[in-house]
Amino acid sequence: MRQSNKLSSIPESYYKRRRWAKAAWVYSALLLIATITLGTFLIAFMASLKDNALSEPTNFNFAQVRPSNWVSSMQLGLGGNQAPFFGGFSPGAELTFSVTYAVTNDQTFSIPVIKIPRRRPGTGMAATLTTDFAADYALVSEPKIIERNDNVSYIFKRGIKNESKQGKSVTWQFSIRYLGDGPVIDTVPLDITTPREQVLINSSLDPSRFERRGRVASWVNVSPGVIGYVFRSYVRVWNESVSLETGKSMFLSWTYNSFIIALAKVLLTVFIACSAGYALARMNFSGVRSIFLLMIFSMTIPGQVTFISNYEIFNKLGLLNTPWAVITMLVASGQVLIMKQFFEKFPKELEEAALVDGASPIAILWHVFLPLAKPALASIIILGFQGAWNDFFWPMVVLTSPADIYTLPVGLLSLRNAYGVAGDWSLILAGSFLTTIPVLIVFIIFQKHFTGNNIGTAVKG
Amino acid sequence: MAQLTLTKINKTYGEGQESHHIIKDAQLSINNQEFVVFVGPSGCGKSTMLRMIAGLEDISSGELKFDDDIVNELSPAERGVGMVFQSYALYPHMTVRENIAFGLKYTRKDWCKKQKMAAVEEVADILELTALLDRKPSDMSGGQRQRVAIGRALVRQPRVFLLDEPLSNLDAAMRVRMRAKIAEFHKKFQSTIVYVTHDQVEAMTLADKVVVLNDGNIEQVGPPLELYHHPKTEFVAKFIGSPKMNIIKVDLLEKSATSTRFSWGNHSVTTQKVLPSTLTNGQFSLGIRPEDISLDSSSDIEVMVENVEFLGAETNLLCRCSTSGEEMLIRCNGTVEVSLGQAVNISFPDDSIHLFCDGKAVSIDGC
Repeated sequence: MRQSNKLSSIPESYYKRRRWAKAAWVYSALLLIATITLGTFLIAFMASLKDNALSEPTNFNFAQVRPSNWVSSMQLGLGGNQAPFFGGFSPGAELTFSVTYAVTNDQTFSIPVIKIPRRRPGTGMAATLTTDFAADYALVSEPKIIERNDNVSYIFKRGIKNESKQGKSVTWQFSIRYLGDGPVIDTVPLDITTPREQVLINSSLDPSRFERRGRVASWVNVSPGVIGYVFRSYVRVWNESVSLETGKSMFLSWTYNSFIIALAKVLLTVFIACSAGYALARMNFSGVRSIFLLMIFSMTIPGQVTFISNYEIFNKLGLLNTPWAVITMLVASGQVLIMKQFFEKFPKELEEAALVDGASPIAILWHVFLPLAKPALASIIILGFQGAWNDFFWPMVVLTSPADIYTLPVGLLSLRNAYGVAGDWSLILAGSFLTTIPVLIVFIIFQKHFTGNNIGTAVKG
Repeated sequence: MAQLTLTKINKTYGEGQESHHIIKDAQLSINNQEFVVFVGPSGCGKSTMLRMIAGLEDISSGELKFDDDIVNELSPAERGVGMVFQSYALYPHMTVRENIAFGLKYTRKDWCKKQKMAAVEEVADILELTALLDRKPSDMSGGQRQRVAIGRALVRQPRVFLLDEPLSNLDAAMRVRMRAKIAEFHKKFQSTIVYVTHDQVEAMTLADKVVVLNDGNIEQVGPPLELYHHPKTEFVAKFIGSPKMNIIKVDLLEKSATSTRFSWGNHSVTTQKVLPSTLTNGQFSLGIRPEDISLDSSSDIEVMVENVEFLGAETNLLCRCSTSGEEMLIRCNGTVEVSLGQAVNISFPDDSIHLFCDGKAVSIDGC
């Protein structure tokens, strides 16, 4: 009696608060997990946009995310090639560019030295194919002073230290014109050299980097267009994975190879998993158990143990450097296990009903079991596709030349190796991001089948 | 439609010491168009027997014939059986139409699509499923699913219809309705039906012929009323009829050419039944159905009422014999007034006595 009195005296707001607190716990936990898993993804994506992926400290306020740069890159792209998105430099182009420099009040300005260098557009393998340089066609006008300011504060970088300074500034404007007739050129690099004390405080487009302790401000492309500017690494992945023989982008053929191989592997896996899973789950033949144990045992052998002998076998078969070498290298024990466990949960009567209805074991598998095994099939397809898509070691061993038979992961490695150095991480990050897209699509297509099945309605009422 | 002949059918599981003998030398013939019900307690082998007839279970030894064909090695579809499972076992991912038509795909390959669809429509019409044809099993009630399961078996026009406890998942009211429906189907299609149940009411109401199984043996085969009136064994006597028959263990006191006297406790009973001359010793028991016992103050058999169940139309009295301690159930009409602990005197007519010796019915008067 006392107990119930006590309970009834608790105000409704208490329960309300308790419900909210519960919801808050649940959602903050979910948010935390989402942040941790998505956070790394986001940081890597941001890094793939930067001029220097490894720049320290990690920040989210870099040139490519500033709207001012989007606007000017679009204007420059329009000026250079009538192409606001991808830019370029074509006959008749005129780019107008301005730079603002500052010095302290006791110093004098010197006129910046503007130069368009003969620079290859990137570090990828295909950068060596470039034969047309903007330097051969561009004419830079004399810089004109268009604005002066006698009172500016700016930051002077001395090593890793930033010094605040007060002084005056001057804005120069100049134009880059395409002289005469010629090919469309992808990039217009630009170097502007000034004395050490004269600091660049503003420009039409933020410079890609400073060289020679800040004396040289360098732009990789002053006619990029907005996509060419923000997603420069992604455009480069496409452009710089060009086949040296055919001149076509190999990224597409790598994607195609990966896709065909992954698809074939998934089909083969599904076929083996379903038929073997069904046999192991539902057919009573002698040796079922030992086959199953052998299969489980095979899961414990790492691929690296057997790869040399496998390589020899594929060599003898003459399958090296063909997709078959990758497709047939299949370990489906895990998937067989998944299907076996799933099929075992099906009521036996369902199979017997089909048997009475005259269906053969294959018909039972195809018309009764598989439609009911969609969740398991979806997981097999997603996991199998992802595994095949990301498979790196074995394709690297058996796919060596020519470069356009590579799969994507092997192709990405070749990007990194263009000059035999590990460096251009933006390029590799961008390539990695592009490779994740097909897996995402597969996941989105098949995830709705994860919702479960209605096998329970087969029996009882 | 077919006639079934089972000859010395055996079923064993396992081997050597571990082996279990499930069905022992079953001998049975099922006539064309007959409705046969297998009935028995759980574990008696009735479902196994049905599954052997269906072809879902191997026959260890013996011969199973459909008409003149030995079908031991044939698959269910080749035998031409239609089966309804206790759990219905509908295909959950298919609509009712697809469920019913599924079997036609394999067993009626010679039919064109139109014929198949017509057959499905016809069956749906009979089973009142027409409105549900495009629904899935998950959207249906137990009774509806049951009808689909029946339709699935019916559409192929099987030689033998097998039903494995088809009503046990339904509620009581639905069970009664479906029971009537099944009886109606049988009349309509004149099919050979083998029906398994543990519910003797279903057996009594539906069957042309009841097969009572116990522990792998066929105890008795016969029409329901024959089983009720002339059980061949004590087991059948107890199993058929509800409430079950009272069995009183008795001693043979005296046997003459015109009558026999038995005793139990302080009581003795004289009956006009004459034992065969060869039968002199053994464990005798008397079986008396609860509805045959009447309250009779002139009788000298006195029992104590231990429990009273008023069922409205009738009243069941659970009594105990004051001297021998035998339990006895009496069914009397609903107007009778008795109270707990009251002593009542009972009697039963001579011709309602079933006499058993060592569990087997004693044939009386040479019959």
